[in-house]
Amino acid sequence: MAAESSSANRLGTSIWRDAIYRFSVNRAAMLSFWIIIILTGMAIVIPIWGPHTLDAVDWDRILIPPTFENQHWFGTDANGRDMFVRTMYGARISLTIGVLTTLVALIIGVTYGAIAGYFGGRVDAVMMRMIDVLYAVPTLFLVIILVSAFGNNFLLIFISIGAVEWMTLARIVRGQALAIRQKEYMEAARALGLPASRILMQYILPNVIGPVVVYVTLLIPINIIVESYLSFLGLGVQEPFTSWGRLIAQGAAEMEAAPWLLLIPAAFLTLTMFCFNFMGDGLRDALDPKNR
Amino acid sequence: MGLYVLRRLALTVPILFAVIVLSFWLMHVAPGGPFDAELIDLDPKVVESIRAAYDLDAPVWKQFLDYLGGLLHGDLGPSLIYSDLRVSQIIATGLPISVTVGLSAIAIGIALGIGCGIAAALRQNSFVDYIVMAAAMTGVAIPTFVTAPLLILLFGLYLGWLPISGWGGGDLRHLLLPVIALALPKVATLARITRGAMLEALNTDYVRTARAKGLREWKVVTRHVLRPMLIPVVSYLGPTIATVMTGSVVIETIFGLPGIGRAFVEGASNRDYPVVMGVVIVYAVFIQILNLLVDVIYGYLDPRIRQSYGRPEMSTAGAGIGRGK
Amino acid sequence: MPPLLRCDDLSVRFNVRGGVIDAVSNVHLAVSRGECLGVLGESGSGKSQCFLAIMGLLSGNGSASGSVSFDGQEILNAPRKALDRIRGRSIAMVFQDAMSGLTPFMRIGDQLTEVLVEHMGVSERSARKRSLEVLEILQFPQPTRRLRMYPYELSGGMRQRVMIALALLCKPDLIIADEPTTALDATIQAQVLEFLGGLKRRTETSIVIITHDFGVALELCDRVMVMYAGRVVESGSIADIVLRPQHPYTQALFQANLGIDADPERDIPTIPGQAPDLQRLPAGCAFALRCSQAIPRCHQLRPELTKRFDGHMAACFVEQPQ
Repeated sequence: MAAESSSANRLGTSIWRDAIYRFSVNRAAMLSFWIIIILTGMAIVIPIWGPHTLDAVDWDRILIPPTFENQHWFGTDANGRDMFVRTMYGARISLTIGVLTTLVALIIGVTYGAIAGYFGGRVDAVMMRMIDVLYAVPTLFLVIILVSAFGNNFLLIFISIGAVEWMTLARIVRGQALAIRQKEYMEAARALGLPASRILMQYILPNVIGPVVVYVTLLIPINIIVESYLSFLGLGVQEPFTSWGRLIAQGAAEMEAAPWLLLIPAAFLTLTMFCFNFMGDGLRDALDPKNR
Repeated sequence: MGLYVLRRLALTVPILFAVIVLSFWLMHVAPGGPFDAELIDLDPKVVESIRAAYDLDAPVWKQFLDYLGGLLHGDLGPSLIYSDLRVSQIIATGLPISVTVGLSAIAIGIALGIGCGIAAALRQNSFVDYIVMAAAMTGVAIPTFVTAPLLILLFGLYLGWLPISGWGGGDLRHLLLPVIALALPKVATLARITRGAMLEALNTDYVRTARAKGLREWKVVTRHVLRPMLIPVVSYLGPTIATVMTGSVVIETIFGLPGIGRAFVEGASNRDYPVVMGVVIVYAVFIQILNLLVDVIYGYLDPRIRQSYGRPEMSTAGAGIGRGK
Repeated sequence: MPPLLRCDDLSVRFNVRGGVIDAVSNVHLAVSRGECLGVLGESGSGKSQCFLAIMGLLSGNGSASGSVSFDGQEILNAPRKALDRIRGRSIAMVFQDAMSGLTPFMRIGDQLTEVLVEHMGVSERSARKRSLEVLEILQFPQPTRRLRMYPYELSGGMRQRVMIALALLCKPDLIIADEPTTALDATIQAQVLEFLGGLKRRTETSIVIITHDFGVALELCDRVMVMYAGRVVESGSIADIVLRPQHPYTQALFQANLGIDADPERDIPTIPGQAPDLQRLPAGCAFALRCSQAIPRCHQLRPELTKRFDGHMAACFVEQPQ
């Protein structure tokens, strides 16, 4: 058993190294990766050292388009607040929520799916039926209720969204787990009396990681969108926090007079989505043994 | 197969029941009530009597049983906010609007999306392929609440060709922008799915055999490629159709369309329980029917799946790709 | 009489991430009417790709060069229309893996009849009749009932016979069979080989058998071509190949195929080393590293195919007993 797990580890390392190599030669994916890194950097740094603060009102320059004046590179909004800084604050919130939400969904989904898939039979049937019922309730509904229940507290919003988005992940993990438990080496492990937790950790999880990683990369942008959706409807983060969704909603309201208020956060959101999608595709191609 | 369908239909009832229980409970468990917004203005005595009129102070289980009783008579209850409207009226007026917009968007999605996907797959790695895939990537990445305002900006404000909002009785001019905005991500996703599925099918050994038999390419495609290609497409379309038919909240909000999506969000924010429950039930019914349709179509597309229908523990509806609402 | 199928300087190349793979290099071969040619080699030798190229069935990243003429007509890289007229009708291919080679969601009967409908323009009924005839000749059990079945409902042996039947339907002039018996158990294998032999004798159908099994070649073939690392290393009549092999690889292959009366006490002779990496072929003879008879020259220069005696060619620097 020790020999097998170490050879599995060796195999694992070379698969990952190979995948990393293949990812790194995918120019779109690498470019996207760096853009996200830079964006994250800006989101962290600008609000601290940027030319303006989140709420500072520039009374002389209300609702001006992007200009070099007073470093209002993205212009100002109807309250005279600098759009560049606000967009970066929005980046912070949107990105953070996207990642944290995905984390929550990941933890719930993988655990649920692994258990269902590992035990199979009745346990699996029951667990999947529960998901079927949950699926029949609209996502938005669940999210809205949970958000109302937990409040608009920024920290708890991502729990609400994550608690709804975990199901597809659970399905993926469960499918993989079901497939793996059929394999012969699983019988051997069980016959040797390995405890279920050990089997789960050592055998099922490493094999599940591939599709999970790909889906997670695609889930982050989905969650950013869901949060933006909520904010757009007025149900997401509240003042003084702001996210791209709120900025877009506010921008849409002022669309005629000041299109930049809409276009700039929209552009950032779109760019981020693009990048995550490219990275997701890149990861999928890198991990795909058929090397299409 | 017939037995399988019957069994699935029978399952619909308990699932629907579970959904109703869950939703009802969630609604009532969340803090806040339907008249909170008006509390500040109204005399507490008035609020009390309103609440009593709607039985809102009774224990939750009693309210639930009352609701169920109403359901069995086909009564979805009154709207708590719009006191002179019944939920069934709200749904009856809103549903046709949502369905019209939704199904039109799906129709465009299918025609354009699948068409482009096939074109891209048949000319893999060509210029056409790259253009289609780039456009698809864009369509998927940009959310509707970004494209919708942009479309309004362009066609409504700057060019002035189309009205910027409103239903206008459902004429083409008012339909065009919302349908396009809603359709864009569907077109994009369908293009990607179709292309991927078609490429995969085209590279199988059995397609090679089909070509080795000397069959002309169109015969190879229609007889040997079409069916496996449609499986992921159908997986995606099933839940997506259910979702668009219950109204896209964003589209209805931005374009001011009085569909049930908008009614739903309003209801949820205002704790208008019956309205929310009504929409939830409509959605649940749609999803059940569509999932069943999807599974039946699977059985037709791939006979191996048909075989597994004899075994109830196979959850084939799980092949879907998430929900999207 | 000019040969039915003739290849000159056939090469097949694949573009992959990281470079180019020369799967087949400068292959010359000829098959006459009524002749059975065996193509021997291990996996990676290029034996299948060679004939996939001839049939125009290479995967997307592959390209073929050289010249291939069939019945006097140039067919290598011919336009799709021309290929469609020939494939399945004058040249038919039997693939190795019947499970993945048959369309899983189409009934067997439909997969058979569509060939006849396409090439002969007959009705569904006559097509079905003819399909049943062919299946019966192949001793397919209860064919009428099974026509309505799907591939997954059949056993491996039945599926393989369907693959063979597909090739026979239009009475082709040339049948290319890629490992037709590998997936079959011994009894069925014997039946299939016997049938093919009979076919060749009765109808003057040319057959190409691609295999790694000497026994199969022995039973059916008139001539044999041995391939290694994408090249032909030896070719000659079956008798000469068996009795006086002129290439160390052929000799090793022969030894590795044990007969039923092999000594159970002795170790199974194997060819040491691994198949060559086609992206990084060594200078000199591709087999040199694994060859027990290699001389220094073998590692430096690649031997060309030269005539050893009548009707027999080999590519080796080392002299062999004749």
